[in-house]
Amino acid sequence: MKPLKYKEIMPRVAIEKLKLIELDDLVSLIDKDLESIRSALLESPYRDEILTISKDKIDSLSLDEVLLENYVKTFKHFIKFSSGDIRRLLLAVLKKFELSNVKAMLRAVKAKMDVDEAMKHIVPVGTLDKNRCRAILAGSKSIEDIINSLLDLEYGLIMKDVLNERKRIEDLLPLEVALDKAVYQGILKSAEELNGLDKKIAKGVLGIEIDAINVKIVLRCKAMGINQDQIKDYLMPTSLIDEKALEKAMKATNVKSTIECLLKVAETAKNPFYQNIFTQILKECDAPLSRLEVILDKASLKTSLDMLKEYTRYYNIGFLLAFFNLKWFEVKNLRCIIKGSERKISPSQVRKLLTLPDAW
Amino acid sequence: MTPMSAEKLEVHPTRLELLRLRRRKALAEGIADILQKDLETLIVALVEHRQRAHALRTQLYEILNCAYLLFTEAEMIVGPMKVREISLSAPPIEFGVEVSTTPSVLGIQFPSLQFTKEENRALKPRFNLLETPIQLEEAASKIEDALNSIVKLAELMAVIREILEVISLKRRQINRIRFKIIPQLDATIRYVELILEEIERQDAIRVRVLQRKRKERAAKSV
Repeated sequence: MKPLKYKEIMPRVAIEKLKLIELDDLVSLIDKDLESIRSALLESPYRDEILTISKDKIDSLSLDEVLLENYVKTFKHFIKFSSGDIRRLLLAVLKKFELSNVKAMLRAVKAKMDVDEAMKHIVPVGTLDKNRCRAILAGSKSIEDIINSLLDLEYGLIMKDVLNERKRIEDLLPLEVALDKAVYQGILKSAEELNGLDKKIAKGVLGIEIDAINVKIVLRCKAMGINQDQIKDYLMPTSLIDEKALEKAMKATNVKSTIECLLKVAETAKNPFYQNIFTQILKECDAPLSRLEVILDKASLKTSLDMLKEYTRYYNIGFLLAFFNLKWFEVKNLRCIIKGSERKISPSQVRKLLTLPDAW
Repeated sequence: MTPMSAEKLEVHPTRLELLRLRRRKALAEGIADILQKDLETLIVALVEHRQRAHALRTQLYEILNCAYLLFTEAEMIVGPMKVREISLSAPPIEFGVEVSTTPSVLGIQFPSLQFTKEENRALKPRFNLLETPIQLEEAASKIEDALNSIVKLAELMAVIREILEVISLKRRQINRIRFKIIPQLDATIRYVELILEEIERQDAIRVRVLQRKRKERAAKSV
């Protein structure tokens, strides 16, 4: 353990952690109108971004944009004060958002959106700032043009490989899957490069996120009746639930037997965390997939909350990763409340969609 | 309803014509009865189709409400921009409607609409599995169900329109028979009967006059 490398970053994380909106306050925003939500957010770390929207232009789109901007700003802020392997890991995680811009550009070109319209989907991150994205969009009439414009970044090269393999791109799915795989591969590689406890914690926190994604993919594909070989193509790099376990699950005939298979794997591996999750999912396996996905999302939240309790606050990466997860869930929950308020969705329905700890 | 004042037909007032007219009247009444039964069958079919259309419309509203709610939930989970971005770039599915006709009540050809979906598309996800909330997939699937129901509802509405047209035609035919042809035949029959009665009366007088004259001639000759 090298406490010095945390010297700059951890006090800042601790301060930002204190600024997270209390769950009671967050839940009290349900059923409030947009103006009340805006006023409440003015008293939160989102204040600076909220002030950029004029009062009469407030809607779920503008609020969603500022929430994301705030999240990315926080992320960048911590990257500035981090160093070494922690910085590399944070940069790898930030690529998820950079990739989101790449996908937004691909989709905008595919949907033949005009440049101004497409720019609304861009949240400037890393090397893909607004000017660069605007220039790429303005100069691209096809997916191939986008790929060629991004050849200086790893995204362009990955997409070029897919293009060479397939000759013709009919839909964006193969490109997007290849990009997602590369980003998650990068995240896992950066986690692997950490040392000691940090490595264990990072692999645990990020691994659960990736496992949840893979389980969701398997369940969704099973529900759609997609065959095993095809499902393999869509899976992200495996983490705690390895390829063999996923393959067994893919062989199952339906969603229920897939979950039973995953539960068996968790029992064999003596992993109480996964045992608990899959038991919960199995209990509700007749419910819609959306309900099962909520349970998987909560797994990541639970890990983050456990991290905060389990490890010493200032001398490991657990606190930092847990903070980012909690901040992300806060953004997701706020987005949910805002859209629910705009569309006049019943409070009980909004609450069902929030990712809140079980104990809350 | 009182029968319209009917004009009689131009016929020769003969006994043969009277028989022919009576046969025509019996035939017209028979046809009117058959048409009335057809009309009743059509009305029953209309009521059934109307009830089915009502149930289907209620079901369609439920599906659309559910799809709309799922779409909103998807927006709540990943944000409206992301949903828009994913939806606009997803590969479209080609839908179509095949129109044909099928014989149904009373052998009438009813329009039949069949919702068709492109089948050659390989079984694969339409949206990015990692970013797309399952609610968006479910909303898309519900919209497909809604489209199917809309086509079924359109078929029912077309059938109802067809039944209404046939009912209106049958009603016009029945009215024409009951209030035009039958009264016309009745008037003609009455006219022929009157003429024949008149001829009978004249014949009877003529017979009596002849008999009287014959008796008088016989009395003179005696």
